[in-house]
Amino acid sequence: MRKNCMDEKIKRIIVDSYSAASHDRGGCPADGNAALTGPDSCLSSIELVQMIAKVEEKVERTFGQPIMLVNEKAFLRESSPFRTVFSLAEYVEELLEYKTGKLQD
Amino acid sequence: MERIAIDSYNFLEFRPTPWDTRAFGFPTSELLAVKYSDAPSLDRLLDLFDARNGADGVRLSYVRADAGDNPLKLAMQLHGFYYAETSLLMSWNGRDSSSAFAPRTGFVLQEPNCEADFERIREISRDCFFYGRFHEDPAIPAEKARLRYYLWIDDMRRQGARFLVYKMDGRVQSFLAYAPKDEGLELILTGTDSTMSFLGCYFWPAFMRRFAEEGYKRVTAVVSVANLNAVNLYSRLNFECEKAMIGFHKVYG
Repeated sequence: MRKNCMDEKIKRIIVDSYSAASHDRGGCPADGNAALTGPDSCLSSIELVQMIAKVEEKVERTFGQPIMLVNEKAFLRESSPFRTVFSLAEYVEELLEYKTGKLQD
Repeated sequence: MERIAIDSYNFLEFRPTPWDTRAFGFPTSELLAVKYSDAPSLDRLLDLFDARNGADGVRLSYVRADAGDNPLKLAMQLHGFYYAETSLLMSWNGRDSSSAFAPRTGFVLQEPNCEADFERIREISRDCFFYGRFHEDPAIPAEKARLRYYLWIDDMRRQGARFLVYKMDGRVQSFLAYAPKDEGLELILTGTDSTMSFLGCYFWPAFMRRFAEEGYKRVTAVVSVANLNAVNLYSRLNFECEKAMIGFHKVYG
């Protein structure tokens, strides 16, 4: 799979999962800068965890690779991958690259 | 525990709370149970309780009354107790939680094994709680409520409570304090570092799996109704609301 195509698919998975998780709150704007954690997030803790579970499930279905987003390495990073939709997308991409080897350009 | 009785049908049980006295700097007491046969007897009991608090120099007293006990709620207010918080007794009674909320995680729980672990537990307890009978009472300064939670950890240790923690890079990030109660467990306090508060949603299922594996069939917890995240999380873990309680406080002097 070409990298750009994969990037787009990952972003779509995360945006869709975010929209689904925030649906009960009337749906928050699901752009890339939408906050996942902190005071600006419109998701409750449980909604965020549900969203993460949905992302893991969809990534496995789409790319054939199981990933576990919430792990110690993620939290030891200087910058948390759970800040925004985009930062989570970058993190998912990294995990997939690590699992599958360097992607084709 | 001490008792003030009019007769075998009308009595109340209370206790001095030196652990709260240390945080607040003045004597405190907790009314634990009130049994009454009619309103005049209840009124008399609360008069006697006031007199005893006065004699002991108590400046803050508190009680959690059954939310359905209207005569008691009325009597508390007529005796100068004010509303402070509402809490729920929630219980898990062995219902299968395997199909309940179970996010994927590789976190491993362990027992705290050094004083640095307990200091982190004290810090989290002090800094990461916003709900509880003292945190929600506007008459109590926030720093006193926080100090009370900080000191509470060592009180629990002395009373034999057990602790489980999750550590990251050797540092405690989340903890649970619990104690055996009857044939089950009572969850006393749980907390997660506020910078990663959503991780609490991952630790709870791990805690519950561990308790179920150890053969416990009943787990209870008292949760503030203002703590909606906790109430929702317990519900997803197959806890049920067993009792609603209204917290009343009284300041003397």
